[in-house]
Amino acid sequence: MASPIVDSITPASVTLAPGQFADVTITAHDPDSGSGTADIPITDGASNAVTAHVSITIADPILFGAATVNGVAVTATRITPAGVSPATYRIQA
Amino acid sequence: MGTVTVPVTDSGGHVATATIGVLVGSPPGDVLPTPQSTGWQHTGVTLKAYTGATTIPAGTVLDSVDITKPITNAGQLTIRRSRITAGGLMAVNCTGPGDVLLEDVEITGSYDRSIQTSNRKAGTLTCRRVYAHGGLRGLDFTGDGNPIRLEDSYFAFNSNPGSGERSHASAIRAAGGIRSLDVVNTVLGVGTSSWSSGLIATYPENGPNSGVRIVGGLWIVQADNSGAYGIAAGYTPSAGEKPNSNFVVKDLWVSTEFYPSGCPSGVGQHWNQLAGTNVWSNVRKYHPGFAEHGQQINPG
Repeated sequence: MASPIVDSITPASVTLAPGQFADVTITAHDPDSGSGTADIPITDGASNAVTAHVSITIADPILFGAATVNGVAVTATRITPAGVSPATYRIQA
Repeated sequence: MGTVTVPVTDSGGHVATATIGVLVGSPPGDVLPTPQSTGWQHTGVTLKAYTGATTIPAGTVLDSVDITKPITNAGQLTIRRSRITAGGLMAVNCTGPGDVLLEDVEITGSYDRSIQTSNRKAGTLTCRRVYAHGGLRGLDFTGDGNPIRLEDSYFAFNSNPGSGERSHASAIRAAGGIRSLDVVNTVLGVGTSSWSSGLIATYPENGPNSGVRIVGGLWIVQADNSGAYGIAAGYTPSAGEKPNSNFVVKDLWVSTEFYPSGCPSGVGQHWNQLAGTNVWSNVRKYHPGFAEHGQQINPG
């Protein structure tokens, strides 16, 4: 199992005047997630064959947690659901 | 500068962290950057000659140096409190994959562009209190989808003297393919003797542009003809171009000292051709002491 990958942070930094806010969008994915297909042959006694196609999805949802503010007087609040990527945080000075 | 950190967790409890830089400063427009508050001179340092390679190794930090030749970066690079007076096509060519920070740097002397990016694979280019002037263009990053950020900088004046039709001067040129440009409390200007020139050229000639955000600052157009614009946002379908999208222009001053409208061909030229979600808010005329100072400007 691997850690999630943060694909992008847009914008990566913000400059705010007092009272202003900015929305920052974070896109991430889990490298353990994936999808594919499997083909299963089904044969009867007379050698008649058909193929069953099965879609397989490995889901490992990611959660965007509560933001922590360090060294600056702002609030940071997630404004999208925790399990939705991309996630948007509103940073308010 | 502080940070906001966000934990990103999967179902197995594995955690990655996203870190956002945050600076709380003066309200945009209250303290506009000037040539005196940008570049190296206001820091009070004494410059020493730079004798290193023109391709600067990854991880280099330069401080208080006088660079007199064009440079490029092999990777992460920081230049602080310095001057770059390179001749030639461009002064700084960002090609490497790492973050580049230019802070309190004056760039001049190139006949074409002060800063160019070429085929960058990753990294954020940040210009903080940069004074870039005297060329045809300040920043050219056509085709670069990586983040670029200008903060409290002075990209003026750029021009292209001559006669007849000639290349268009601009403060920023992004002729397609960009995805993240933040220009915060920054002065952009094109000077006199410019041909049909504008401040931010975003013609989508090499794919649509998106994610252009202008917050605060001042635009100044001195160009000597009626084709000059503020930001060129439109596209040409007959040329196979797709529309730009997701532009923000807010809390911006536009000088009306040289043209009553600020930019004779439109402050937000062809703004109505943008796709996606766009914001045009609190864009005002800047002409202290005159009646129009503070009047709102619509795009177009």
